[in-house]
Amino acid sequence: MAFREKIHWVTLVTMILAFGWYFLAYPWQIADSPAAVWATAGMLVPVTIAIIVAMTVATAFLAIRNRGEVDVKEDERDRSFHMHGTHYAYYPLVVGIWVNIFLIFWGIGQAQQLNLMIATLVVAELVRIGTQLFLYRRGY
Amino acid sequence: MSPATLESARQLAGADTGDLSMNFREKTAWLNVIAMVAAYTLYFGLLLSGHPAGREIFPMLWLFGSIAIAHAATVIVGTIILSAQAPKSERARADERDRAIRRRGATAAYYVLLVGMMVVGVYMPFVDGGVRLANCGLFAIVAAELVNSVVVLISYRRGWHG
Repeated sequence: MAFREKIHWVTLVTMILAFGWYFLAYPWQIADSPAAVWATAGMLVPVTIAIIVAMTVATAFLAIRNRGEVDVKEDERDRSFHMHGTHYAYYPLVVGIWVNIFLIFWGIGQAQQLNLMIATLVVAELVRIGTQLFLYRRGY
Repeated sequence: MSPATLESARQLAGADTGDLSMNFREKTAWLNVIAMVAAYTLYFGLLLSGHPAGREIFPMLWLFGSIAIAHAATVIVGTIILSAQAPKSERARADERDRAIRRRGATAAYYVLLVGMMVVGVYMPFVDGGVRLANCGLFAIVAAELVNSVVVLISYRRGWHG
């Protein structure tokens, strides 16, 4: 497996674990109250720190184990995979914003709206990384 | 160099202006950019000048709906006209280069929208809400789509081939 592919796997697993914990541990029973907005803020801090720490440690570990590949610049194939990934991820992002705008008129609560946006961002990033990994695996 | 050679070189240089004629897809990219800039400059310009669409739901829906429909109608009619004028070979299915250019545009737009979404969706709910938030969301989408169209346009103009 190439160094870049390993980094993508680390990102994918880290995001699934961090945001999986976030959405499972979120206090949904108070989602309609103003306190839920601050609960979101409070929970996003450890999630962000966990992602940064996990990515830094994993990248450093993989870089030490794959010294030969660390300085290799992104080639045409990597760039093509990247563009495929972002192309597919763009659409969930657009749909997520539209849904959110409609839900604002529907009277959705602030915390629910915030969580919907976070979920959209996470889905878009998972689509982007997932597409890239799929293409690396397929050897396209 | 003899004057006759210089003169013939000048004529040849004059004949080749370096201009490339636009193909059908590039023309539609221009159409998208111009229609989008015109429509949403009007919309956001009205909001900035104090139109009630910046504060209330129904004026917003009415104004945005009218402008979005006008924009869509312009693009549809323009595309039909351009399509009728274009030779059949240019109207063929998008080739590999067209698809690569489309992906390039979407890649640039993705990052614009990602940043817009973080501001509108993750920061702004703490300090704002309602119609203002919806308008900021619309602005993020319009900005991203504009970047998408401009990147597509520049790629065609510069002869980018993936």
